[in-house]
Amino acid sequence: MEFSSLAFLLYFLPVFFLIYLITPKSLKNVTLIAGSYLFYLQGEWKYALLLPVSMIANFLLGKCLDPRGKAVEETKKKRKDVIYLLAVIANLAVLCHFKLWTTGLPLGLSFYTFQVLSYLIDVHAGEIPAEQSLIRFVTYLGMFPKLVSGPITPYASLREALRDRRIGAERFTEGIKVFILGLSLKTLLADRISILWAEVGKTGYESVTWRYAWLGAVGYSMMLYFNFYGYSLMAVGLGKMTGFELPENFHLPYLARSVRDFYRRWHITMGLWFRKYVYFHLGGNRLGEGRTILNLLAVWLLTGFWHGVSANFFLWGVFLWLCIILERFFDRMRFVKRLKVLPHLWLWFVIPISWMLFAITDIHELQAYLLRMFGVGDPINGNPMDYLICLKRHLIILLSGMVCCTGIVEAVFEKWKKRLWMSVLLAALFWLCVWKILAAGSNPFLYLSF
Amino acid sequence: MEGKKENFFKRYEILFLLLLFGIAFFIVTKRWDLYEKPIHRVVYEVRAFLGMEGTLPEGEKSWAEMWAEYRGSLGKDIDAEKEDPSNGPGGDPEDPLGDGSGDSVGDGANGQGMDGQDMTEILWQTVDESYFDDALFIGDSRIVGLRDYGNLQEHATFYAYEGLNIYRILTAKYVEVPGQMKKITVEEALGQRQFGKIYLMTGINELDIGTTQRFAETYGEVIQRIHELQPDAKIIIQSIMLVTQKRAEKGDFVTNQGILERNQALQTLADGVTVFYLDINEAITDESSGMNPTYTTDGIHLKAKYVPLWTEFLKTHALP
Repeated sequence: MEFSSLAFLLYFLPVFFLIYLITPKSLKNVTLIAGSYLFYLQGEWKYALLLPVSMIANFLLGKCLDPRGKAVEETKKKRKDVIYLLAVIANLAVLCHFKLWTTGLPLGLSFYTFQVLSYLIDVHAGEIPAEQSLIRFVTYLGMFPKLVSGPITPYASLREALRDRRIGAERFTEGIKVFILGLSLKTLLADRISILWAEVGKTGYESVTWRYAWLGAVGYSMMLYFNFYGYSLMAVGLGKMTGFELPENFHLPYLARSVRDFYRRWHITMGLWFRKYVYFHLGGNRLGEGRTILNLLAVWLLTGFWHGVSANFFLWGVFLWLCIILERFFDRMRFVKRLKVLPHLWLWFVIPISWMLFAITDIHELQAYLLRMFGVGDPINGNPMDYLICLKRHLIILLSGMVCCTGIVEAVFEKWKKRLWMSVLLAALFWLCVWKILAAGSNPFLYLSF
Repeated sequence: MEGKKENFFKRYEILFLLLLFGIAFFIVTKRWDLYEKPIHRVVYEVRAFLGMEGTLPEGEKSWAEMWAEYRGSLGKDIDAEKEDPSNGPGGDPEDPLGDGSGDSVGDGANGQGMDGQDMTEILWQTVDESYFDDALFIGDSRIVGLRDYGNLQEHATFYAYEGLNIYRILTAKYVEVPGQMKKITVEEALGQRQFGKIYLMTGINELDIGTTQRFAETYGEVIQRIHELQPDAKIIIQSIMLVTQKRAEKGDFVTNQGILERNQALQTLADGVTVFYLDINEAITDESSGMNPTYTTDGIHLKAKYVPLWTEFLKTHALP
């Protein structure tokens, strides 16, 4: 069940929160788990038992790894290390199994595995105590706001709230507002811009002019952003409504000045995860330039693998790695720091290219598209005016998207979110989104009609 | 007390507004069924659980039936003796279309008394592009593709938009008027300029609207109206283009079976005098009897690279 589906918006959301809010405090976690499991089953019948079994196993493993409490003997410590290693490998093995040998991953497994790993690693390192209550542990991992696509939230940041949280009118209503903001970005922007990208595919990559290819790449870049950013905002909003503060996942990435900067602003929680558990573990940047470059390569190859197992994700990771190496090199020159516009242009040049590596999984199609982006050869039976047709159809949505990339929407929201007119606007937006989803649902081709 | 009350409304204003706008939304869209249906269902299921009688809206399966189907899909050998779930009520997806096929289609089509064109009678000619100088193409996104990538822009005229269907083909405003911002309907446009040949292609968007019979009837009415407006024009019904086998099996209303059924009905509209039927699918299908998958990305539209196949087919299938 997606957040932006009628089933979620019209049925699940009101019914769940009605029950959740009247549930006594001591049972709120149980209600949340029950609701989350229903939510999960809507999307995943086949592996209905995978997560519950895995959660119970990891809960027991966590308890057993906790080095606190009684003084630990040396032999017991060794045994713990072995268990720890096996636990990490087992979790990774489940993820790899589904990534490599099945088509289609069980819902949310990538995000789930990362959170479980961070929990086990931190517990083993003595950074956090193991959770003693199975209910709280399952709530942490399984709560529906972040179950399917994150944000990847460290256990430590939710620990207090799992025990004791106040929902309160202010937090609850703000959650609703943040949720509607995310829903609007997803439904009104991302879904609309996706038409542009679908049209490029319809035409065939070998037939587009270089201008149209770039419009497609820019369109895709925006679609991906508003999709995932919108989703993340919805997750944060639902988090607030259930009484949790989930971390911010995006911070105006397209305003970044370098690829490194971009990935500190894009899918932030995943970046932090890789930083803490891969990059730092490998030594980070403390072992000399050569080793740093290799460490970065490891991080980017793994990031690519995490997104999918095919050649294009490998290329995507390597491409970003190369960009970052190049940036490190240029950073040594002083004049680069004084540049104002060029860094942005560089970003807006390489990021759309990188998204094409990300988007097009067929390697021949990918090659065709990149050749078109750089104007190599001629489009096959192309229409030299195709970019004008595209602009005529999509200019307004592209411009709206650009405006929404600048942070203006967030600023307006932050400043006036408590005003009545903002509530009126958001309530209207909510039903506008429902109307759009309804129209697209009764005819899936309203967005993409033939 | 008063202040507290105000405070309460103020604090939860977003909820009240959502509720208010929601009611307005349902009043305007008249989609109360969105809530009525599930409530009806829950009531039905609870009654069924308690052993009471009840009815579900037509075409819907009860939870018990869905459960039986799910168990059936787990493996026939496990419960082989279980009855076939597809026999359940509403389980036959062809049912609503079933009455549309066959002879009944031609009867109500229109007053032209056509018995269907005998395909062998027409001796298709091979021509060059100038043949299309007085040709008009009307249709959905497939025709948009032909317009943009068929290399006929300089010859033929195109009235087309994505999502067009037979029910809106004459009345929707999508014909551009040179030098003006406004758009006009095909009906209006046909009153302004005469054409020699009018090619039609529509039918995929409306696969889930109405029966085959109603589709063909409407198509017939549209042809008759075009004929009134353009008495000298030959009208060519292009078959609805098939989709790839893979796309057809996706599970929504777009099936090649449905397309073939409607194409069959369309054939009966042709009289071989002013109205002709042209089976475009010869040009684009492979041995899977769907669209050739190499010709398309989405399984429905020809890629720009392969649209010329269609143009070539039209050039070798000109009317004598």
